[in-house]
Amino acid sequence: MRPKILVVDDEYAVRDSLYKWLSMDGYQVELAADGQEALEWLQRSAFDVALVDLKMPGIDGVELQRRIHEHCPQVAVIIITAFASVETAVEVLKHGAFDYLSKPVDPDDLSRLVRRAIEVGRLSAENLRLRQAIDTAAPALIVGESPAMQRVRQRADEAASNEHAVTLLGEAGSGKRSVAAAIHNKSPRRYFSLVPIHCGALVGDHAESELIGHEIGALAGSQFLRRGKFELADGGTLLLDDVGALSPRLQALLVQTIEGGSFTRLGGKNSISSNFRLICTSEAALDGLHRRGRLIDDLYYRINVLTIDVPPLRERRQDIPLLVEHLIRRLRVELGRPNLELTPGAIELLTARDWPGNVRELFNVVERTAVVTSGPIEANALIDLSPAPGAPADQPLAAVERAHLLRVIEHCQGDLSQAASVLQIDRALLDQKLQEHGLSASGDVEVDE
Amino acid sequence: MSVLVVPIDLQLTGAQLAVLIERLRRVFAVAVDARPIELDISSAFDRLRGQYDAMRLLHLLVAVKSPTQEKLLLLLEQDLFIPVLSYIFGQAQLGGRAAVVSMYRLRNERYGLPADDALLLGRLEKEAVHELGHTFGLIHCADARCVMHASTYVEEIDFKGDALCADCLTRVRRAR
Ligand SMILES: [Zn+2]
Ligand SMILES: [Zn+2]
Repeated sequence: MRPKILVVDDEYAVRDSLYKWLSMDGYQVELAADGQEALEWLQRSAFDVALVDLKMPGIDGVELQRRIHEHCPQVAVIIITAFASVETAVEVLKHGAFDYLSKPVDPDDLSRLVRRAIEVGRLSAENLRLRQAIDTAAPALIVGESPAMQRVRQRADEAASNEHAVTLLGEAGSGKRSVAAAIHNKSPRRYFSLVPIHCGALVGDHAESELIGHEIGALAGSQFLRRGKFELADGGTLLLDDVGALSPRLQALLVQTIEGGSFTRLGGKNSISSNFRLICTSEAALDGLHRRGRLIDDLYYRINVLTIDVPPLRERRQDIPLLVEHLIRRLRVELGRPNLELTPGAIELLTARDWPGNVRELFNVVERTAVVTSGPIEANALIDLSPAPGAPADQPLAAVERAHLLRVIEHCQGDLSQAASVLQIDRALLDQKLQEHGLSASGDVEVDE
Repeated sequence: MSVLVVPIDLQLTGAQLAVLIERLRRVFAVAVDARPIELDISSAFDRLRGQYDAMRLLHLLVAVKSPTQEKLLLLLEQDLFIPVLSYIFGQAQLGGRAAVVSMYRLRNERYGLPADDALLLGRLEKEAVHELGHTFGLIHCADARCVMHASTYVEEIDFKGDALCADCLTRVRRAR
């Protein structure tokens, strides 16, 4: 059952636009032009939220709110006022309004508040039926029936039911972000955003503003304030991708925000409260990062509570046919080829491969092949499955890796973040590999002690 | 079914517009064309707010004489609003033929950040697909990676992917 919202406003244009705007969000919306009509609606059916204009002829917003609270206390009332005055705000909140907003309303404020009101209502009603309906509607994010993936799924379910920070460990392309999304979508925070941060890209002048935002005028030329990731994640989940690449200064800022439950925008005075759950991903083990000074103590102890290992694809080969089927189903629709399929020989070949780039690489190969072939995809049509040219066949892996690292770093002119992105590995893992190979790169390159 | 993109004084190069058109063609699998039409939008301007009323723009679009099977997507640089809300990135008729997207709040510069053409085009592509998606009858999608996921703040547009999820895509193909 879709959440139901009653919009009460005497202005047609307001009712009409709110009706359209809220309908797009999948809400069931009913309209009332005055307090009397609103009360009639409330007698006839159940609502989750009522959006009520303060100034209306006849029964005004304050009075309507009082009556709703008396007769239908389960309905969360949000008052919308043209002139925000402290007195009316105090008055409506005293009489049990959920909250109030002043016109014109920022769309993200309204959307956030409506979601919050529905969440609160549903949690308190313990309406299991609704929760289950949402659970089954959620898209499958963790694909695979291998014992390893069943374990991941079970651990993710456990994580979804508590509030601890979670760290997902695994190779590039193994699907850490999908697991993060699965945890978020199953948690009570699912009505709010999952906000990703690529820590490796968080450098330079604007890194801090990216997290905490800035007020108008804090940076030259800004016309609007910027909401940072901490603010956007309020009520939801913050996903720190490649956590070891976050600078110690920003790690401290993160810990401070989590502990205080608030932060201040750059150039701002007011503290903005924010409550988010933390999920981190890393290719390198956390204790190693901590030892090498890549993670400050406060953050390390916080995120090392609950870790989930996402296995590389070669350790769960039996999932490959299922993963491919999943992708093919999507490609059939996307490419408009309802008969698209792979021959058993092709699936066998895919299953036998080691996939150093994991699921991401597997999907790339299948998708690129599907785009350029017609008819069933045969084994020999699969693109990019020949061994990479270059290194002679008699060299140890370490030597090839070392040479390749140097080549890529040189190509990127010493920019390690860029090199990590070319190599499709975490920045932190690149640092670890440089250390393993005894490479103290020069120039801009930072080196661990 | 086809889509006509109607640019109004857009600060985009022909090549950038072509990329957008190609993207729309691929996603919706219908013919997509772009050309200016005779359309006076001045009556949709709200002097008091200094913004364009998105609902009035949609009404103007619906009144345009063109084949009934043709959807119209208006692209403009000016800021949009609907009554009650301070701004919106775009608006569309659910299952109808008219949609509008504004570049105004998609530009990094307005937030005091360096201009970023690639990011701007990515945002425009997502918003254009999103609003047209509404005209194909799609409502907001719970899948956070789907381009039909709601985004009310500019950087939330960056969180989602640029493609329709399998469910939304299936619905679009059926609506066609
Ligand atoms: Zn929308
Ligand atoms: Zn979708």
